[in-house]
Order: sequence, then structure tokens, then C-alpha cells
Amino acid sequence: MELSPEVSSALRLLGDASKTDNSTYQAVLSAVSADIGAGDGQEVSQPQPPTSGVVSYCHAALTTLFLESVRGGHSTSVVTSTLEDFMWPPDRVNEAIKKLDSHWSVTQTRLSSLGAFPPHIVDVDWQLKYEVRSSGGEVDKARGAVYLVRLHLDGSANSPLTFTCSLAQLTHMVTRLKQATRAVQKYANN
Amino acid sequence: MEEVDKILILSLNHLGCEIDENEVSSVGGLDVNGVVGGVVRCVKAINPDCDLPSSLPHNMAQRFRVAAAVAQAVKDVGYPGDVGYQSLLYPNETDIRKIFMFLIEKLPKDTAVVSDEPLNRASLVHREAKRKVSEALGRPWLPAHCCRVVRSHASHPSPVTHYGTYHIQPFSSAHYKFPPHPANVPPESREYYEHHLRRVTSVVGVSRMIATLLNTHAAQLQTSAVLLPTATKESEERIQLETIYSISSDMRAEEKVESKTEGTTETSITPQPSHLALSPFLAATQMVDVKESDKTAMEASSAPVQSEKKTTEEEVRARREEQITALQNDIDTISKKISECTEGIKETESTLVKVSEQMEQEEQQKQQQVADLKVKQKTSSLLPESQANLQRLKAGQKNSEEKMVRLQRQWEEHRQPLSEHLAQLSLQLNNSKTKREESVTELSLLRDKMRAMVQDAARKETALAQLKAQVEKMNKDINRSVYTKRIADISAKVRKQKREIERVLSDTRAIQKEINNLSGKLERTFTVVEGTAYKEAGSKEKVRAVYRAVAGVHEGCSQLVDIIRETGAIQREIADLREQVDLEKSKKVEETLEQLKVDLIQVKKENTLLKEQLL
Repeated sequence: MELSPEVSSALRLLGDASKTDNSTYQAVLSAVSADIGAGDGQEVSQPQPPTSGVVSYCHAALTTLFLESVRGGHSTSVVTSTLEDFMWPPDRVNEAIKKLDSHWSVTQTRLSSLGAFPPHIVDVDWQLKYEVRSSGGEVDKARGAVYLVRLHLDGSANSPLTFTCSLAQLTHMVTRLKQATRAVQKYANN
Repeated sequence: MEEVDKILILSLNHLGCEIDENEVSSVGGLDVNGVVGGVVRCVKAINPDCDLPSSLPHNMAQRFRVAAAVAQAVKDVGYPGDVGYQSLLYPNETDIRKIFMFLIEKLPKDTAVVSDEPLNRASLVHREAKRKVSEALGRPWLPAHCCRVVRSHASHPSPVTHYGTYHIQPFSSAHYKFPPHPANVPPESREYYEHHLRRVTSVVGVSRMIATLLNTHAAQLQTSAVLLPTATKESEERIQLETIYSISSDMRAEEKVESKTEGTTETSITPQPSHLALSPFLAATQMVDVKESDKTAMEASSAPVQSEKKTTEEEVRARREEQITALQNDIDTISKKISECTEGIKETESTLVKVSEQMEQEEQQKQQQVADLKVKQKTSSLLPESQANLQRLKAGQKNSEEKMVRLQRQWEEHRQPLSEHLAQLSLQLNNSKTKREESVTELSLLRDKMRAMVQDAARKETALAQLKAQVEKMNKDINRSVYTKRIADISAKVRKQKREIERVLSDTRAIQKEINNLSGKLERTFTVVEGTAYKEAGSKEKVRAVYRAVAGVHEGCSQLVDIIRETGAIQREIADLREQVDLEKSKKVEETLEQLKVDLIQVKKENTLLKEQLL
């Protein structure tokens, strides 16, 4: 696993029992597990008590290590050997690995939910408007059926997608969509 | 026929025609464009060189030409029946079915080619993508409001797009810098560092923590990758630059004094002009101080400017520019000086090299002369008692010659066995060397073989997995056993029909035989009757009448039989004709004729249009 010099030096500091006492280590570990385990919706409401600089410093490094190991799909043995390279004592390594194991799936879920994906269409409303005659006198142009289509997207943040089209455009779109599904099925089956 | 049509449409869709299987159930349901498109695709699949448009043009005349070309192509492929533009433009079901059956029979059989090449990355990615897509297609649809529930109760983390995207967050990261190592904290911010430094989560927020940390780490990795190789180079450059700084800093010092007089509370040390003598490193650090003090001086000077409004900003800028130009000039002169100095150093170095070479030569000459001197001194000491000394010298020479001979003999004695031994040993060495080389080459060969075999095995395993996956997939979409069953059924039916036909034929033959028998018997009976009647007829008048009647009956009967035969033949003919009529009716001649008329009218119209255009 590749780690930056900043993270490496912080981890070396955290693993050094002579420079970092056990209470600091425990504080770092509990802070990491609290932050990684926090759900998506749970934004911190109360301000966290200010911590000492060493804890913040090591917390950032250890969280980075956890995230990178989950992201790269490294097994715990790789993480163990990395921590042993930083001269960590075995009991601290064991504790950290235990925490990593318990938060593995949550971290994976949170990592996989990061990114840009187009929202899914979950529902559709439509409305047919038939204009017999327009007041402007453009008899040829304005006449005909107009479809108002509203596509609902998932997620409350996304406002529905609305557009109007003529019958020809609608059929064109439908055939194109059919072609697309057929292409996807063909790709999947070959 | 439905079965056949289904298969035909399926194969046409395989070739790339887009026929909706639900709408078109038989070949007869295809329109002109569908027929021509299908035929052209088949012909293209059979003979990829042929160049035919896959759809008909709009112009009627061109339509006919294209249809004729397609028909010719079908004939070229080897279609034995009659085909022309009319069979494509005015299709009737049976003909089209025949053509399609022939063409699809002719299609090249696709054979599963197992590639020997190792799977490259792209194909692996494709396969993975296909797997994912088919997995996604096979997943049941869930109402949107259920996705949330599914996700919160999922036992394992599911990839994102499985159940909606409402929980997706954009990858938004905030700028974050790692706090410094505790050893590097400046004393003035130690209090803050110890007690008030917040951790990353509270700085950027829980939702952005992951993205921020990932981004920061990536940035750190990149900077370390860029900086590390150049770090040593940089330090070298710095050493070179420091000498320049040490020279230029005294000029800056003057400026600083100036800035100090502008009434700031500058507390940094005032460099003395004498620090030309300082070490370059010290000078450099002072240089940095000077820079900072410059900056603070500028800032400080701008403060009173705003408050007291004595000087405007433009003046400050002008002064700054003046300073800059002055400094630039200084730098130019100094660099010129440096270049002069370095040239001088080079020259002196070259002269030094020359001089030391000369010195060496002279030293050698001196040694030679000293040796000469020694020899000459010895000979001059021998000169006084020349005779005795000559004798002694000769005796010594003789002695030494004898000794030489003896020693040579001894040397020879020693040398011979040793040299033999040496030759033997070297021979052995050579032998073992060649052996070793051979074994080494053998070993490397074996190793190569082993590696190749391992690679081969891996490749074959992947191919096996791929083929297995293919087989699994195949079983899904083509139900082979159903087809074979159907084929067996059909062949059984055909056999049964054949038996029936044979039975009917044998029946007919038996009846024919019976008829022949009967007619022969009748003939014979009649001749016998006629003979007896003729004999008797000469004597009796009555018998003569009987004879006449018999002859009449016979004639009438034979006429009747003939008539029956003729009616049979005519009936057969009628049936034939009826069949022909049906066939012609099925060809929809009238409709086709109508269509043809319409087309003809259109062609005429087009022709007139073209004529008008010409005129």
C-alpha cells in the first residue's frame, strides 16, 4: 500500500509508545471509528470538543489508512504488515485491525456511494393536449397533439424532468429507447 | 409452416434485421422493404464482397433496378428456382419462403473459434461489463420507495446502482492540510496546537470527510512523487545561488535601512556590509530575513500612506519599480563579475595543470641523471687496479654463468611435472566448464518450458472458464432438445406418410391388374362366344340374330369402358387445372397486376416529370 510521507510520519508517531501514550492512542482510535461509522444523514449537530493537535494529526492519518485500505481492497494482512513496518507494537496493531474489520462494510458502502451517477427514473406522468385552433392564426403549425411528459427521478433533491413533444417525436424517442434496450440486451447476452 | 417462419424470422433478426416477432408471425407478413432488407442481409452474410443497398430507394425506376440487382445476386448464390425483380417487389408468401429457406441454408455456419491468444485486458473488461450488465438485467424491478428499505436492510454492501441512486453523494472535497508534526510546531502557535486544533471531521463536515481525505492523500502522493527526485538537484542549485545572495544582500541591506527610516517598527537584524565575509549559508538566511522585512516594510509603509495620505500609491509603485530596476542592474553587474571570475579561475587552473606536468617531466629527467651518475662513479672507482679487477670480474662472470646453467636445469626439472599437471588441470577445468554450460543451458531451457507451460495452463484455464460460461448461457436461450424432438416427430410423420403413399400405390397397382385381368377375360369370353355363335349362325336364323346382338353388346360395352376412361382422364385434368387455378390465385395475380399498374403509372409520371425538367 502506498502512503504519503505525511501519513507515514504521523502513523510512525502514533505507533511509537514512547512518544504517544496509550490514552492518546485510544482517543485517536475512538475518534476514527466514530467518524467512519457515522451514517450519511447524521451531520454532526453539536460541535465536537476541541482535541489536542496530536490526536487530530494522527486521526487524519489513521482515517486515511483505513480509507485507502478499503478502497484498494487490501486484506488485513497487508494492513498489518504496513503497520508493523511503522514499528507498531502488536497490541496496538491488533486493536486497529479489529476496528478496521468491524467498520469494513460500512466504509465500503460509503465509498461506493461517492461519485457522479445520473439519477434513476422511477415514475412518469403524461398528459395529452390537443390544440384544435390557435388564436394566432397559424393554423397549420399549432394544430395537433402535444404530449406533456414528466419523468420523476429518485432522490428528493432531484426535481422532475419535464418536456413537451409531438407524437412523432414521442414515437421516435420510444423507438430509440427500444433500440437502446435491445442493444444492451444483445451486449449482455453475447 | 409457423415453425419454419419463426425460425426464418429469428435467423433474420440474428443477421441484423429488426423484425418485431410479435407483430410479424409469418414470412407473408413482411412488407417489400422487409423482404428486400432480409434478402440483402442474407446475401451479404453469404458473400461479404457484394455491394447492395439494404433498403429500397424511393424512386420507382431505381427501385426496379435495385430489385433486379438483388435478384441477380440471389441467382448468383445458386438459387435454383425462378427469381426476378417481380418476386421481390410483389412478394408472394410461398416464393419468398422458398428463397429465404434457401438463403438461410446457405449461410456460413458460425463455428465457435477458441482463441489461442491470451485474454487481453480489454476483453477481460468487456467480459466483466457483460457479466455486470446481465446481472443487472436479471435483477427484479423494485418500486422506488422500496429501494431505501432494501438498502438499509442489506446484509452486504451493494454496489451503488443496484437500488437507485438517491443515496449517491457527489465527490466533493474541501481543501484540507494535514496539521504539522508536533515536532515542527512553531512556538507561537503551540498553545493553539495543543488545545484548540480541531480534527478533519469537524473542519470539513462528516459528509465530505471521506472525499477530502482521499483527495488530500492523492495530492500528497503526487507532490512527494514530484519532489523527491528533484530534491538533491535543488539543494545543489541553492548552494550555487547562495554565493550570489551573499553578495547582493548588502545592497538589500541598504534598502532596508531606507525602509527603516520610513518610520516602521521593524525589529529584524540590520545586516552589516561586512557580511561578505560571512559563510554563504548565514548570508542566505539573512537574505530570507531581508526579504521578509522588505515585505513587512512594504505593508507597513502602505499603512501610513493610507492613514496620512502623504504619498499616493502610484508614487510607491514608481519607487518600487525604480528599486526593482536598480536591483536588476545590480544583479546584472554581479553576474557579469561572477562570470569574469569563473573565467579567471578556469584559466589559472589550466596553467596550474600545465606547470605541474612540466614539473613531473623535470623530476623524471633528474632521476635518470642521478642513476647515470651512480654508474659512472662506480666505474671510476674501479679504474686504479684495472687488471686485478678485470680478473675478478671475469671469474665472477664465469661463476654466475655456471650457476645460471645449474639453476636452469633445476628449473627445468621442477617445471616439467608441474606444467604437465597444469595442462591436466586446465583440461579438467575446461571439461567441467563445458559441462556446466551445457547444464545451464538445459536448465534455462527447462525453465523456459516450465514458464511457457504455466502460462499455457493459465490461459487454458481462463479459456475453459469462458467456454463454460458460454455453454451455460447457450443452454438458456436455445432449447436444443425441443428442436430435436420436433425434428424427430416430423421425420416420423414423413415416414408414416410415405408408408401410406406406398400402400395406396400398391392398391392402385392391384386394381389395375384386376382390371386388366377382367378385360382379358371379357375379351376371351367374347371371342369364344363369337366363335360359337358364328358357327351356329350359318344354320339357324335365330342364332344369327343372337350373334348380331352379342356383337352389338360387345361394341357398346367397349364404348362404355372407353367413355368411362375418358371421363376419368378428364376428371384428373379438371383436378389438375383446379390446382393450377388455386396456385395462380394464391399468387395474387390481380393484386400484383393492380400494384404493377400503379407502379407503371408512377414510373410514367416520373418520366414525364424528368422530361419536363429536361425541357
